[in-house]
Amino acid sequence: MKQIVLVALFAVMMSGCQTRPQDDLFESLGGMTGIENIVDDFLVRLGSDPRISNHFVDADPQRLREKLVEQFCAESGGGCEYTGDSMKDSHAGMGITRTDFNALVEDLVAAMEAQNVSVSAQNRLLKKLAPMNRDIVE
Amino acid sequence: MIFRILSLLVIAAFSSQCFAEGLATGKGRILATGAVTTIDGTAGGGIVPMAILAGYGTAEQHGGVVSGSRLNTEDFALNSFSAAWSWHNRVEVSVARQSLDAGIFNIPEVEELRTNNYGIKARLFGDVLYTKMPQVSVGVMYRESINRNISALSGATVPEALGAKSNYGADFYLAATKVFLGGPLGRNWLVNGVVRSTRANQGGLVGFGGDLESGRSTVAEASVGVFLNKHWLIGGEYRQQPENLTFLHQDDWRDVFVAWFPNKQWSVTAAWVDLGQISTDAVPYANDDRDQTGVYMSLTGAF
Ligand code: HEM
Repeated sequence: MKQIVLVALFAVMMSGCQTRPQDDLFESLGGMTGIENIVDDFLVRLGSDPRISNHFVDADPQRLREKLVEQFCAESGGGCEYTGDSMKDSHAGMGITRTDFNALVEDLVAAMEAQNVSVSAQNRLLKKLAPMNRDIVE
Repeated sequence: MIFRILSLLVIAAFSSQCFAEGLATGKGRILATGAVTTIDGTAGGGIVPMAILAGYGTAEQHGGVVSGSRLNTEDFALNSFSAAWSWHNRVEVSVARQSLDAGIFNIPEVEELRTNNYGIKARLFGDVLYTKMPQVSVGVMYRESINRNISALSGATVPEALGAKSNYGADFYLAATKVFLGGPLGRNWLVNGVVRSTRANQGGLVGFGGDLESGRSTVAEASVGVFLNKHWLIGGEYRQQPENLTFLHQDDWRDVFVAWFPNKQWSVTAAWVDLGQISTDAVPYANDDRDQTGVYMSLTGAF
C-alpha cells in the first residue's frame, strides 16, 4: 500500500514536471520573492542614477513597482498577467534616448548582480526586455 | 613616436571642437559593445574588424580610443599603435602605425617594415544589441608603406624589392556584427562576418599586388565569441588572405582570444595567433614548413 502511494506520488510529481513551463527563468530569478527584491533594488538605483533619475521624479513608485513585478514575472514564465499600459503608451513623449535606455539596462544588471542572479538568468531576462527598446526609445 | 603624438593631437583637437559645439563625449553604450581594437586601428577583434564603431558613444554622443598592441611569432614581431574617433555612433575614423621587425628579410638599412593605416567606417543600419538585423557597416582602410627609397635597394622601396606592385592601396569592406542575448548556455554570443576587397600583401606590410595577382581579391573574415559574463569575452577569428606573390607565400590568419573589459576605460586582449607559413626566398635559413604562431597582447583605452 505504502509503495502504491509512493508510486502515485512519484507519478504526480513527474506530471508536475511535465506541465511546468519549459523556461525556468522565473525560478532562476528567485521566484516571486526574487523578482520583488530585484525590482525594489532596481527602483532605488533608478531613483539615484543622475543620468536618468529626472525621468522618474513624477512617477508613481507604488504603481511602477507593481507593474514591473508583474511584467518580469510574466516575461519569465511565472504565470502572472501584466495589467499595465503598453510600453509604447507608458513611455510616449518622454524623449527617452538610447543612452537613457542603456543606463536603465545597466541599473537593472547591477540590481540583478546585487541579488545574486546568475549570469545566465540575467542574460535571458535581458533577452526578453531588450526588444522593447523599439517602443521606448524615441 | 611623432606619429603617435600627432594622432593624439588630432584627437584632442577634434574633441575640443566637439565640446565647443556643445556636443559631449560620452560612454552611453553597454560595457564591451565598444569592442577592442584591431592592428589596423579600427574597432573589432585583433585581426578582423567589426561593424561596431570605436568607443562607447551612442547616437547622442562622441567617443574614441587609443590602443597599442604587440604580436610575437617565431620569426617576426609586429607592433601597432592607433587612435580612433566616432561621431554619433555613425562614422568612425582611425589611424594606425604598424611596424614589423624585418630583420629576417636581411635587407641592409631596413630594420622595420612600416605602414600607416587610415580608416573610415560608417554604420549603415542596425544595432549590435537591439535590432533583429545585425549591425552593418562599410569601411575603407587605406594603407601605405613608408619604407621608401632605400639606397641599398638602388632606389626601390622594400615592398617593391620583395615583389609588390605598389606601396599603397585601399581595402573596401562590409562588416555585419550581432550579439545574441541569452543564447546557448544562457550566454551572450557575438557573431561577426566581413567581406573585403583587397590587394594587400600581409596586411600591406609587404605592399600591394604582386606577380600572381596584381588586382583586387575578395576575401572573407569572421569572428565568433561568447561572453562568459559582462567582463570576459573568449572567441576566435579567421582572416582569409589573397595570394599575390610567388616570392612571399601567404596563408590565412587565425587566432583564439580572450578579451577583458574591467570597465569602460580599459580593455585588454590576449590572443594565440597563427599567421600560417610566411616562407620567403629572402630567408634561406627560415624553416618553410613552420607556421608563424605566437602571442598577441593589446591594450585599448577609451575616452
Ligand atoms: C526595457 C526597458 C524598460 C522596461 C521593461 C520598462 C517598464 C516599465 C513599466 C512596466 C512601466 C509601468 C507602466 C504602467 O504604469 O502601466 C513603466 C513606466 C515608466 N517607465 Fe519604463 N521601462 C523601461 C525603460 C524605461 C526607460 C529607459 C525610462 C527612462 C529613462 C523609463 C521611464 C519610465 C517612466 C518615467 C514610467 C512612468 C512611471 C509613472 O508615470 O508612474 N522606462 N516602465
